[in-house]
Amino acid sequence: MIDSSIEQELRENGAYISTTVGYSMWPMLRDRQDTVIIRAVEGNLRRGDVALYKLPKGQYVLHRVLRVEGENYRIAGDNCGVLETVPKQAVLGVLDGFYRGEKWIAPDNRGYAVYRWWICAISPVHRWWVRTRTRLLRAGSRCKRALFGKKSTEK
Amino acid sequence: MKIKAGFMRRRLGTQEVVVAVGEASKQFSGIIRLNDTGAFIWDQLAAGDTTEAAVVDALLTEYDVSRELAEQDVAKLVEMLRSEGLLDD
Repeated sequence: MIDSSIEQELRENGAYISTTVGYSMWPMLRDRQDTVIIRAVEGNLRRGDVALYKLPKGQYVLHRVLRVEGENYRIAGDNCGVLETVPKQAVLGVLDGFYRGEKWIAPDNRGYAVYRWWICAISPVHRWWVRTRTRLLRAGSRCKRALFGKKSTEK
Repeated sequence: MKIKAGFMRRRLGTQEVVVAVGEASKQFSGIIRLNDTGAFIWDQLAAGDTTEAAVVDALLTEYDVSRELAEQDVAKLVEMLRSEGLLDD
């Protein structure tokens, strides 16, 4: 069993494989169901590439590059409402295909190319919708609590 | 014995590796690298309930190796998979 760091894997083997956790890249990547292959990054990424980067606190994130601005990338998850600024030097690797369940999706897969174009094209509206949806859900929860009180766990 | 649900063989460049998905990924977050023989043995174990002897026989029909070496290879991989918790007995 290999349990080395992602950086070590990328440095020694040039590639890294892992099952993704979380919903930030949904619907493309589903929580604990899909497996990504990351290759060590060489040169600049392009709009639409999915970057693996490390946050200052040490957490690894896999999100999509939407803009290249000087020495930074503007990045967002496909299911996120916030655009992040990530220094180029924080990027460790780039998505080089993934298994969606049992199906292998190569980087040049035609269906994925359409998805990639589409998700970049609708990104500003989509991010607005994700933020609005979150606010609506929170407001709904507050109303529910105000009307019916806190749910009791006691019988 | 057989491979537990949630462990998948995947191709990483020219290598064959095993990763966990679903519930299994909560317990196992690493990878297991397999050579050609290891990948063949894995497939036998993943195909359904089998025995070490049956896997050795399958290996002997596919590869030109001695029974002794085949038994060693199978026992070694089975032991490793068992110690990592990937096998249902």
